[in-house]
Amino acid sequence: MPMATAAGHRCYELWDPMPDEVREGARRFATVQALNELVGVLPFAEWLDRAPSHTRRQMLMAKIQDEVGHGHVAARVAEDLGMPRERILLDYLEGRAKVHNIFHYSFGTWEELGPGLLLMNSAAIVQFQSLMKGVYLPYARALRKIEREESFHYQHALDLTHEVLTHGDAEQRRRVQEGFELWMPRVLAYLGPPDTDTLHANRMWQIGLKPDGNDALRQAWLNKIIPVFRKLGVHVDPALVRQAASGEWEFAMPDWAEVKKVIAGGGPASQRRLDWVRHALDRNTRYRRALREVS
Amino acid sequence: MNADRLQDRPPGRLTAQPTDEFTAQRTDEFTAQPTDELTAQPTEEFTTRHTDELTGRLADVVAGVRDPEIDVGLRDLGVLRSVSLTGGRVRVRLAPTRLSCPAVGEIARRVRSALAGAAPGREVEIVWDRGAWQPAAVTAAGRDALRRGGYRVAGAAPRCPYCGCDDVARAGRFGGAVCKVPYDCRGCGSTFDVIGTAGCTAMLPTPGPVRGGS
Repeated sequence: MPMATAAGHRCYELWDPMPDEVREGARRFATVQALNELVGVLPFAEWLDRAPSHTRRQMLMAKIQDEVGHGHVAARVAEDLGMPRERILLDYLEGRAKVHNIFHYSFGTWEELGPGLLLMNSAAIVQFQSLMKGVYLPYARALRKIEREESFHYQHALDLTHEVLTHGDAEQRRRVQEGFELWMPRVLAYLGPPDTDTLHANRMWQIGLKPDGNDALRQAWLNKIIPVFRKLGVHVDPALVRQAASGEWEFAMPDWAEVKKVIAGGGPASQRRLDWVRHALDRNTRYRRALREVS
Repeated sequence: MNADRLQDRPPGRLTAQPTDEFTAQRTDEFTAQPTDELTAQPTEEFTTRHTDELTGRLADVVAGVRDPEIDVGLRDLGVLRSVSLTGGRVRVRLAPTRLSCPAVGEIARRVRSALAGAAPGREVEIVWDRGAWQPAAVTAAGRDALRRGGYRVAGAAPRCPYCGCDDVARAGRFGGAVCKVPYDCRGCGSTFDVIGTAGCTAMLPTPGPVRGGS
């Protein structure tokens, strides 16, 4: 039977009767996550054969495999709610689904990868920690497990950034600094447009699938990640992010028109991501068909 | 503020400098690290009895170190095999849950950091017994912790760790790691992993004759 949460929402298990908009909303959240977990490994996959040591390569490979695993977990949740698994990537290839702005870029250098990964990973963790308070419980349970595994990637990102800052030369440290400044606005944008004034009118918030607004998540994220970068020795330019006397974070507002353009396919790596996925699907089609025949 | 302004700043102070503060005190902003409470301060002189006591205490300290990926201690996960003290040196024998476990570096860092607090100044040697880990080494408390985290240990027929039902279906040959086999529960719609299958001790899953499945 549906249960009530502390927030006053009813929670739903797979076989519970639930309003269509809860089912569709949960399916949409899980579908978006599945696509982004899968495409989101590509900026890292590009670095597999360029990672500077065996250990780093091994950890990168583990991260990639983990994220693909998360993509499949989210896809299975979406499948239970009526989203055919293969359609997730087809919708992306055929332009019906988009990936987050951050995956439309590539890392220019290894030194840039560390701060970029730290920013992305910590933002994703904050987002998962919020979404797992949502009312569709199978998805909430999947997110709790995923979030825990993500914290392992976070440690990895912290460690490799620290390694470059400790053992790298001045040029490499400069690239870490530039990487932070390059990725900060992108990840600020990743958490979505300001919604403090509109959140309560958002149906996903009203039905309990989106427990926190974008602005609240951004504040929670900055609270956690800015001290980490400061401790690492990265300079946080007040023109980029600064804390007001009230404790609230202020930041250079992302150029939302630009973000929209990037998400629509106008980012530097947008086409490369699509091509990669199309190639992978083409290559695997005959095997997937054969497997369907025999199963 | 305007994003354009960020482009034209003077390049002088752009170089990041590592701080001592960071090296001295690693932040685990996103993972709770309960090892501090387990840290004991040995002050005794070394008699045999005290050495045994100290060894036991150090073993408990290592036992309390959390796995980086799953919220469970190293002893409960069956990863901690032994802690011994010879002369001034602490030797810790650990078994990774699979041959090429990518977490060994982070686990070693955590073990060293915990021992640095519990046995200051002592040399720490970490020995990895690769291939030695067995599902049977997971303690009862470990099984509980794994179940709460959404994992089952290989052995008996898999049941859903969340609802306990046995109406489960394997969702692939391996999952986020070769030591994890993904399952779906048809009872409650949960996804979970079984750890400790043959994939843990093999380098890679060997493709067998195709019989459907994944």
